Amino acid sequence: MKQILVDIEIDKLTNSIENTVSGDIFDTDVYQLFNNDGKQINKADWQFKWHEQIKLKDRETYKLVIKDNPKIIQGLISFSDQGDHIYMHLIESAKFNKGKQKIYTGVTGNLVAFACKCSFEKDYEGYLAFDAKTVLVKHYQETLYATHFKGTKMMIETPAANRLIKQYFKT
Amino acid sequence: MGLIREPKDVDFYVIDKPWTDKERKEFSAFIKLRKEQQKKRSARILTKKGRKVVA
Repeated sequence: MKQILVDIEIDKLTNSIENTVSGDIFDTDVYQLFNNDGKQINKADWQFKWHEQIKLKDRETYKLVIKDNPKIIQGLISFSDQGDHIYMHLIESAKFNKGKQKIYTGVTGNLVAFACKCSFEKDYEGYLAFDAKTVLVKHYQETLYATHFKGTKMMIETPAANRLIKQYFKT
Repeated sequence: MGLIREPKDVDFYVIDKPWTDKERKEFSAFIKLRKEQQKKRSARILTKKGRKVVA
């Protein structure tokens, strides 16, 4: 099997993504993608070059899927281990989860919570850094509890990471 | 437990912008400082709790 379920308690991931029309909540799983998993990603559905991301050795790429429906990717994230924190390189919701007509909401929050959990597992106390688009800074502050570090550089610190994880993972 | 819903008209993106060594060092120093501050805060809380028990 090419897919490897990451060794966190995925089965406890809950309240993950919500259907914007019905309001139904779907449990999700997160899988790591590897060099030869490119065929799972339809280039036309994504703005970023994820085929290139999964080939980069300095980072890990994960897909978020609805439980028992691993073929339809809801969102992707790539991040790297910086020795004392995690750096989030890219994050993107699937084409059908973008804009006013998005089918599911909560995809990116779920993936960020997952990255924070990885940060805790690496003993980085949840620290996560990323570069935000200027127009999205306010949204990151409000929805991900992120704070400014410098310029457009933002971070999620321990209390915020805990808060995110509690929102997505049963404890 | 709650779900983090991004606003419907907002799609989250980040910019993959490699940090310079200087920026990385600054951030590492910042993390170290924050962890020390947190440790001191935790120690203060423990001390306060200890006093309450003695009182």
